[in-house]
Amino acid sequence: MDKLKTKIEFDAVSDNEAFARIAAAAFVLKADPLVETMEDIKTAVSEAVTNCVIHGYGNSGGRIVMEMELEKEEDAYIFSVVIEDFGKGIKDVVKAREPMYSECSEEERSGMGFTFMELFMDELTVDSTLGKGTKVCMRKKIMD
Amino acid sequence: MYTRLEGECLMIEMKGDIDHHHASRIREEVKLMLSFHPVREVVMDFKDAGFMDSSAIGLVLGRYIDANEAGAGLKLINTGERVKKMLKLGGIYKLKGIVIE
Repeated sequence: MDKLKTKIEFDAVSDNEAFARIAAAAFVLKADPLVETMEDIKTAVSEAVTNCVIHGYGNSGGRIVMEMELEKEEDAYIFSVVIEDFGKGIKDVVKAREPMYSECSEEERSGMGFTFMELFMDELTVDSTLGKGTKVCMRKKIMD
Repeated sequence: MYTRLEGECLMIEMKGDIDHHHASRIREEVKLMLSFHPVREVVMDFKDAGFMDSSAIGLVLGRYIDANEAGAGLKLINTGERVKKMLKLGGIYKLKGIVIE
Protein backbone atom coordinates (compact mmCIF):
# COMPACT_ATOMS: atom_id res chain seq x y z
CA MET A 1 0.00 0.00 0.00
CA ASP A 2 1.14 3.51 -0.79
CA LYS A 3 -1.75 5.41 0.63
CA LEU A 4 -4.56 4.46 2.98
CA LYS A 5 -7.61 6.67 3.36
CA THR A 6 -10.68 6.69 5.53
CA LYS A 7 -13.54 9.07 6.21
CA ILE A 8 -15.97 8.87 9.09
CA GLU A 9 -18.82 11.03 10.27
CA PHE A 10 -20.21 11.07 13.79
CA ASP A 11 -22.37 13.11 16.16
CA ALA A 12 -20.74 15.98 18.03
CA VAL A 13 -21.35 14.60 21.51
CA SER A 14 -18.76 14.14 24.25
CA ASP A 15 -19.21 10.36 24.19
CA ASN A 16 -17.73 10.34 20.69
CA GLU A 17 -14.43 11.94 21.80
CA ALA A 18 -13.21 8.49 22.86
CA PHE A 19 -14.55 6.91 19.66
CA ALA A 20 -12.67 9.41 17.47
CA ARG A 21 -9.26 9.01 19.13
CA ILE A 22 -9.56 5.20 19.24
CA ALA A 23 -10.51 5.21 15.54
CA ALA A 24 -7.37 7.28 14.84
CA ALA A 25 -5.24 4.91 16.93
CA ALA A 26 -6.63 1.92 15.04
CA PHE A 27 -5.99 3.64 11.70
CA VAL A 28 -2.28 4.32 12.38
CA LEU A 29 -1.60 0.80 13.72
CA LYS A 30 -0.50 -0.17 10.21
CA ALA A 31 2.50 2.17 10.61
CA ASP A 32 3.47 0.40 13.84
CA PRO A 33 4.02 3.63 15.84
CA LEU A 34 5.74 3.86 19.22
CA VAL A 35 3.38 3.99 22.19
CA GLU A 36 4.29 7.64 22.75
CA THR A 37 3.56 8.59 19.14
CA MET A 38 0.22 6.83 19.40
CA GLU A 39 -0.61 8.75 22.61
CA ASP A 40 0.36 12.04 20.94
CA ILE A 41 -2.01 11.35 18.05
CA LYS A 42 -4.84 10.30 20.36
CA THR A 43 -4.41 13.45 22.45
CA ALA A 44 -4.36 15.76 19.41
CA VAL A 45 -7.48 14.13 17.90
CA SER A 46 -9.25 14.30 21.26
CA GLU A 47 -8.49 18.04 21.53
CA ALA A 48 -9.79 18.76 18.03
CA VAL A 49 -13.00 16.76 18.48
CA THR A 50 -13.61 18.30 21.93
CA ASN A 51 -13.31 21.76 20.35
CA CYS A 52 -16.01 20.84 17.81
CA VAL A 53 -18.32 19.56 20.57
CA ILE A 54 -17.85 22.50 22.96
CA HIS A 55 -17.02 25.48 20.77
CA GLY A 56 -18.25 24.54 17.29
CA TYR A 57 -21.67 23.43 18.43
CA GLY A 58 -21.85 24.82 21.99
CA ASN A 59 -22.68 21.36 23.38
CA SER A 60 -25.93 21.24 21.43
CA GLY A 61 -24.82 18.58 18.93
CA GLY A 62 -24.13 18.56 15.22
CA ARG A 63 -21.97 16.50 12.91
CA ILE A 64 -18.22 16.04 12.72
CA VAL A 65 -16.37 14.68 9.72
CA MET A 66 -12.95 13.12 10.24
CA GLU A 67 -10.75 12.17 7.29
CA MET A 68 -7.48 10.33 7.75
CA GLU A 69 -4.65 9.43 5.43
CA LEU A 70 -1.56 7.32 5.88
CA GLU A 71 1.09 7.65 3.25
CA LYS A 72 4.23 5.55 2.96
CA GLU A 73 7.47 7.37 2.37
CA GLU A 74 10.96 5.96 2.17
CA ASP A 75 11.73 5.72 5.86
CA ALA A 76 8.46 6.74 7.43
CA TYR A 77 4.71 7.02 7.23
CA ILE A 78 3.00 10.39 7.08
CA PHE A 79 -0.26 10.49 9.02
CA SER A 80 -2.67 13.30 8.25
CA VAL A 81 -6.05 13.97 9.75
CA VAL A 82 -8.71 16.56 8.97
CA ILE A 83 -11.41 17.20 11.55
CA GLU A 84 -14.26 19.42 10.44
CA ASP A 85 -17.39 20.83 12.03
CA PHE A 86 -20.16 22.94 10.53
CA GLY A 87 -20.84 25.01 13.62
CA LYS A 88 -20.40 28.61 14.57
CA GLY A 89 -16.75 29.08 13.58
CA ILE A 90 -13.95 30.97 15.33
CA LYS A 91 -13.88 34.77 15.25
CA ASP A 92 -10.15 35.16 15.81
CA VAL A 93 -8.10 32.04 15.01
CA VAL A 94 -4.77 33.62 16.03
CA LYS A 95 -6.15 34.44 19.46
CA ALA A 96 -7.84 31.04 19.83
CA ARG A 97 -4.47 29.36 19.23
CA GLU A 98 -2.78 31.22 22.07
CA PRO A 99 -2.03 29.10 25.15
CA MET A 100 -4.46 29.52 28.07
CA TYR A 101 -7.05 31.21 25.85
CA SER A 102 -10.55 29.87 26.21
CA GLU A 103 -13.96 31.23 25.30
CA CYS A 104 -15.65 28.84 27.64
CA SER A 105 -15.51 29.95 31.24
CA GLU A 106 -18.24 27.86 32.86
CA GLU A 107 -16.79 24.55 31.70
CA GLU A 108 -13.36 24.95 33.28
CA ARG A 109 -11.31 24.56 30.13
CA SER A 110 -7.54 24.96 30.36
CA GLY A 111 -7.31 26.78 27.02
CA MET A 112 -4.55 24.39 25.99
CA GLY A 113 -6.38 22.53 23.20
CA PHE A 114 -4.67 24.10 20.18
CA THR A 115 -1.35 24.28 22.06
CA PHE A 116 -1.45 20.52 22.68
CA MET A 117 -2.36 19.86 19.02
CA GLU A 118 0.62 21.95 17.99
CA LEU A 119 3.00 20.31 20.45
CA PHE A 120 1.95 16.73 19.79
CA MET A 121 1.77 16.91 15.99
CA ASP A 122 4.29 18.16 13.41
CA GLU A 123 1.91 20.47 11.61
CA LEU A 124 -1.37 22.19 12.43
CA THR A 125 -3.53 24.42 10.26
CA VAL A 126 -6.87 25.88 11.25
CA ASP A 127 -9.42 27.24 8.77
CA SER A 128 -12.53 28.80 10.15
CA THR A 129 -15.42 30.84 8.81
CA LEU A 130 -17.90 32.49 11.14
CA GLY A 131 -21.29 30.83 10.86
CA LYS A 132 -19.94 28.07 8.61
CA GLY A 133 -17.59 25.98 10.70
CA THR A 134 -14.01 25.05 11.43
CA LYS A 135 -11.57 22.70 9.76
CA VAL A 136 -8.46 21.52 11.58
CA CYS A 137 -5.70 19.74 9.62
CA MET A 138 -2.83 17.97 11.37
CA ARG A 139 0.13 15.93 10.16
CA LYS A 140 2.66 13.76 11.90
CA LYS A 141 5.55 11.69 10.71
CA ILE A 142 5.66 8.14 12.03
CA MET A 143 9.18 6.73 11.76
CA ASP A 144 9.58 3.21 10.45
CA MET B 1 -17.10 7.04 42.21
CA TYR B 2 -13.95 9.07 41.77
CA THR B 3 -13.68 10.51 45.27
CA ARG B 4 -13.41 9.37 48.87
CA LEU B 5 -12.68 11.00 52.21
CA GLU B 6 -9.71 9.92 54.30
CA GLY B 7 -9.93 11.90 57.52
CA GLU B 8 -9.48 15.53 56.54
CA CYS B 9 -8.20 14.65 53.10
CA LEU B 10 -10.24 14.39 49.92
CA MET B 11 -8.80 11.71 47.62
CA ILE B 12 -9.62 12.02 43.92
CA GLU B 13 -8.87 8.94 41.85
CA MET B 14 -7.88 10.08 38.35
CA LYS B 15 -8.72 6.72 36.83
CA GLY B 16 -9.47 5.67 33.29
CA ASP B 17 -9.77 8.18 30.46
CA ILE B 18 -9.54 11.79 31.61
CA ASP B 19 -11.13 13.66 28.70
CA HIS B 20 -13.81 16.34 28.43
CA HIS B 21 -16.55 13.72 28.76
CA HIS B 22 -15.27 12.27 32.04
CA ALA B 23 -13.77 15.49 33.47
CA SER B 24 -17.21 17.04 33.95
CA ARG B 25 -18.32 14.00 35.99
CA ILE B 26 -15.23 14.16 38.20
CA ARG B 27 -15.65 17.91 38.70
CA GLU B 28 -19.30 17.60 39.77
CA GLU B 29 -18.43 14.86 42.24
CA VAL B 30 -15.60 16.89 43.82
CA LYS B 31 -17.74 20.03 44.09
CA LEU B 32 -20.45 18.03 45.85
CA MET B 33 -17.99 16.43 48.29
CA LEU B 34 -16.34 19.76 49.15
CA SER B 35 -19.69 21.42 49.77
CA PHE B 36 -20.44 18.88 52.52
CA HIS B 37 -17.02 18.16 54.00
CA PRO B 38 -14.36 20.69 55.01
CA VAL B 39 -10.89 19.30 54.18
CA ARG B 40 -7.25 20.21 54.81
CA GLU B 41 -5.87 18.57 51.74
CA VAL B 42 -7.01 17.57 48.27
CA VAL B 43 -5.06 14.71 46.68
CA MET B 44 -5.35 13.72 43.03
CA ASP B 45 -4.06 10.18 42.50
CA PHE B 46 -2.93 9.37 38.94
CA LYS B 47 -2.05 5.72 39.68
CA ASP B 48 -4.75 4.33 37.38
CA ALA B 49 -4.84 7.15 34.86
CA GLY B 50 -5.29 5.99 31.28
CA PHE B 51 -5.66 8.45 28.45
CA MET B 52 -5.33 12.18 29.20
CA ASP B 53 -5.88 15.35 27.20
CA SER B 54 -5.98 19.04 28.15
CA SER B 55 -9.25 18.43 30.03
CA ALA B 56 -7.07 16.90 32.77
CA ILE B 57 -5.13 20.18 32.96
CA GLY B 58 -8.41 22.08 33.33
CA LEU B 59 -9.40 19.65 36.05
CA VAL B 60 -6.16 20.20 38.01
CA LEU B 61 -6.40 24.01 37.63
CA GLY B 62 -9.99 23.92 38.84
CA ARG B 63 -9.13 21.80 41.88
CA TYR B 64 -6.19 24.12 42.65
CA ILE B 65 -8.69 26.99 42.87
CA ASP B 66 -11.15 24.85 44.90
CA ALA B 67 -8.41 23.86 47.34
CA ASN B 68 -7.22 27.45 47.74
CA GLU B 69 -10.77 28.64 48.41
CA ALA B 70 -11.19 25.88 51.01
CA GLY B 71 -7.87 26.81 52.63
CA ALA B 72 -6.50 23.38 51.74
CA GLY B 73 -3.39 22.17 49.92
CA LEU B 74 -3.34 20.33 46.60
CA LYS B 75 -1.13 17.31 46.03
CA LEU B 76 -0.77 15.23 42.86
CA ILE B 77 0.54 11.71 43.44
CA ASN B 78 1.67 8.72 41.36
CA THR B 79 2.33 10.88 38.31
CA GLY B 80 4.02 8.78 35.65
CA GLU B 81 6.16 10.00 32.77
CA ARG B 82 3.29 10.83 30.42
CA VAL B 83 1.30 12.58 33.16
CA LYS B 84 4.37 14.62 34.18
CA LYS B 85 4.92 15.66 30.55
CA MET B 86 1.31 16.83 30.21
CA LEU B 87 1.42 18.70 33.54
CA LYS B 88 4.64 20.43 32.51
CA LEU B 89 3.24 21.47 29.11
CA GLY B 90 0.07 22.66 30.84
CA GLY B 91 2.04 24.92 33.21
CA ILE B 92 0.96 23.07 36.37
CA TYR B 93 4.50 23.02 37.82
CA LYS B 94 4.39 26.83 37.99
CA LEU B 95 1.48 26.88 40.42
CA LYS B 96 2.52 28.15 43.84
CA GLY B 97 2.28 25.65 46.68
CA ILE B 98 1.26 22.65 44.59
CA VAL B 99 2.97 19.35 45.49
CA ILE B 100 3.70 16.91 42.65
CA GLU B 101 5.02 13.44 43.40
